[in-house]
Amino acid sequence: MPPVRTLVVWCPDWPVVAAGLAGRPAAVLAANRVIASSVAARAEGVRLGQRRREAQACCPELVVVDEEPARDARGFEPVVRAVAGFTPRVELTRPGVCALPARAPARYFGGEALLVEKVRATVAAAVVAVADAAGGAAPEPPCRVGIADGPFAARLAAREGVIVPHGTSPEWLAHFEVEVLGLPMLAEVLRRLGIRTLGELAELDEGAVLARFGSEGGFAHRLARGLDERPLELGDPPADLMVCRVLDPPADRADALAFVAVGLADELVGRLAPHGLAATQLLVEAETEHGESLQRWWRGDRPFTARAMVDRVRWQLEGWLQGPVVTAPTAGVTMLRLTATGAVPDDGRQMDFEGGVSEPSRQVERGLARVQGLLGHEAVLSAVLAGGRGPGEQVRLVAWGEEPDKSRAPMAISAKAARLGSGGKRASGHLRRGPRAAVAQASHDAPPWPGHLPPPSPALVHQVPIPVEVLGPDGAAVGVTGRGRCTAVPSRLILPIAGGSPLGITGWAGPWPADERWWDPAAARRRARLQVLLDDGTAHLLVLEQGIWRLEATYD
Amino acid sequence: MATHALAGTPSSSGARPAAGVAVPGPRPRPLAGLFPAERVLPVLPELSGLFPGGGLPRGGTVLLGPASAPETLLGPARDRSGPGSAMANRRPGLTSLLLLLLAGTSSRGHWCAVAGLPELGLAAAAELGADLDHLVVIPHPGSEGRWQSVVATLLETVDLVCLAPGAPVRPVDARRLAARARERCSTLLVVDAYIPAGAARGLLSGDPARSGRVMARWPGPSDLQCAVRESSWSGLEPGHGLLSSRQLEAEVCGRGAASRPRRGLLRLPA
Repeated sequence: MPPVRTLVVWCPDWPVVAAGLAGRPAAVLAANRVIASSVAARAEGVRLGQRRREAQACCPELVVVDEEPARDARGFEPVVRAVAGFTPRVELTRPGVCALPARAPARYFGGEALLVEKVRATVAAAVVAVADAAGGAAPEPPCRVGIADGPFAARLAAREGVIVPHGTSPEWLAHFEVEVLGLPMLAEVLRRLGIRTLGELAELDEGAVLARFGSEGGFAHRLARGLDERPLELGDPPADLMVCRVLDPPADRADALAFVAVGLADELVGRLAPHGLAATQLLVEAETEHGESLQRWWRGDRPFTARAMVDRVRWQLEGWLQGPVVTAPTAGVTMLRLTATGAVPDDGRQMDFEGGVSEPSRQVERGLARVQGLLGHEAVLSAVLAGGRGPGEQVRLVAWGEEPDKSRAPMAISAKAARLGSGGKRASGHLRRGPRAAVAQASHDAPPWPGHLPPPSPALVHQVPIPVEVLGPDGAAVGVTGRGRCTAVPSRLILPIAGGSPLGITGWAGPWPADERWWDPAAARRRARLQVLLDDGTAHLLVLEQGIWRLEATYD
Repeated sequence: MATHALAGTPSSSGARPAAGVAVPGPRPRPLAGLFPAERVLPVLPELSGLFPGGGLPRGGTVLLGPASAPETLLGPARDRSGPGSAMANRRPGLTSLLLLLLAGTSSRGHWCAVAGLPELGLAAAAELGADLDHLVVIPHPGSEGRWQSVVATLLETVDLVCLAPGAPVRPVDARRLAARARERCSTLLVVDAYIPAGAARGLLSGDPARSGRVMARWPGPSDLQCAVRESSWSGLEPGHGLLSSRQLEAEVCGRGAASRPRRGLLRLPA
């Protein structure tokens, strides 16, 4: 199967453009590493893969935003729409890059050079419009377009902005360095073996490469030879690779639809798996009550997992539902359909030996999706440690299956360290030092939350704090002065709701004032917390706000 | 003879796949086929001495609550005198014991689910060593008629399900859930006669069904009962210090190998 003549549109620095920051020195970060930067930032020395601090050292006025694939996809939707004017068969590789088969449109528009000119002009206009809407300038040039044989060669051609004549892709590719394959580990090994360019890799015997480097090496070798990314399909793919779900009532939120897509993607992967296949292309189709329809092709660099499929669907629907009013649908989505094509043998994915992404087993994923089906998407939660002062603020709950917002997850590292540390210490049969020592040590890495509660954290955090009375030795109510001192020694606690016999306070610490968000009158809160130990042996956390003491949490 | 043997072979081998196909749904996991170490879910080393087999029994139902015999008899009677006294009567430390059990299981890569405990302090769980990536929380498992199927699904899905019933449980439901746990080799951990905030909340909302939660007793069979006998804090003095460490005395008793109660002293940083 000869590689398909492919045109690729590449919008450089797309995450920066979508965030509306292209005109300024700006960088987009994922997991504290720069993944995209603007031209102005690069001129100051900001490079991909740098840490936040390194990047800010290069360029102090750098604007830093966190990665948000949904934002990128949302911004890219108008661009894809513009490209779809040339041919309906547009494939998205990722937000910022899309491909289309070039042969037929080139003949229609009078040659490849003319087609490239037209596409470039159309996309440039669309990118400028998106950048304007996001409140930033468009980069110069707004996009690059290239044509070559096969998507891989075409992506490189787009980067250079050239048209590689038909049949000459292998020779043209030969001078590229092995790093362009996007397989850093393999590229490093090849370089150490003295193989620096794709031409040198392509000269090797295919069988020998496959034997030495496995399927990944075989894949790289195919790319280096200018062949199609996917080898010939083995055997017959299953006939029915289309799954469809009719939604009643119609859904108009992307997360609700993504929840439906979880089931569909599972089904699709389940149909491919018995044949040992996985899909590299996905067609997402949606229809609304008013008959509007949307369809988009997505292509994965690697075969899609069910989770990856769901991500594509979510991005696509966010782009559609939350896009400009002109193109947004006027009614809820009534039908969602996924079609998988480009089946390739599934040679699996090797998880990292230590750490890395731990994927929940399929059984757990399916079971919890069923519970979500019974109770609703928001009823099943997983917890992420986050920064905060109060007892309930140090953990945030996110709906199961949703990507936690990383922006406020400073404690994640210390929690991991706590686990590792405690694992080692537990062997000694003593819990005392384990986790706490590790937390104390690792908390240097976490951003500080001055005035946050000291560990141990309370085991019960009451949903609705319970009003209580705190009395001094003379029976007068205890208050907290503006200088953060108690007006009397707290000596008795009365739980009015429990019928009222006072409990003696045998130990107390505090008050710890917490004056939060004083700059924002709407969200400002002034509170003081008090840790108390009662004479029945229970320990509690009390909070005073606007003159009323409440039982906020219990150290049970 | 030879023909008999030959005729017998294909029919018996032919029957086997048919029998395999006939099993509906997911493959049941027979307890008998497990290694001894796999018949229990791991707990923290400090607690393993308390449990027969060194861990929570897979397929078993474990109650977490006031277990000692005299108190069990007195418990409901005292509860009836009002939730106010319930607050004073209950042993503190039960939630910490629950968090320790969750920590031991989740930190070894087993999946845990907690249903019906919206007030559980997950920061405390993380401090005690629980792996939050393997912990799923369902704060409100649904109303009457719904929560049973939610818990049954969870028992099929994860290894350890912790349930705090929000209302009195019917005996038939209790028996069914215990049977489901046995069938799926997962462990059902029931927070029995759960009081703390429930008492206050019930009174706050003025809802009698809510304060009924205080008296929710597990009416079904159980393999083990865990309880806290003593709990004391140290480090906090009048006007100075901080809560820093605590001592818990846990007790586990049950049937069979556990019929003699075992007690253990735990010193916790939390």
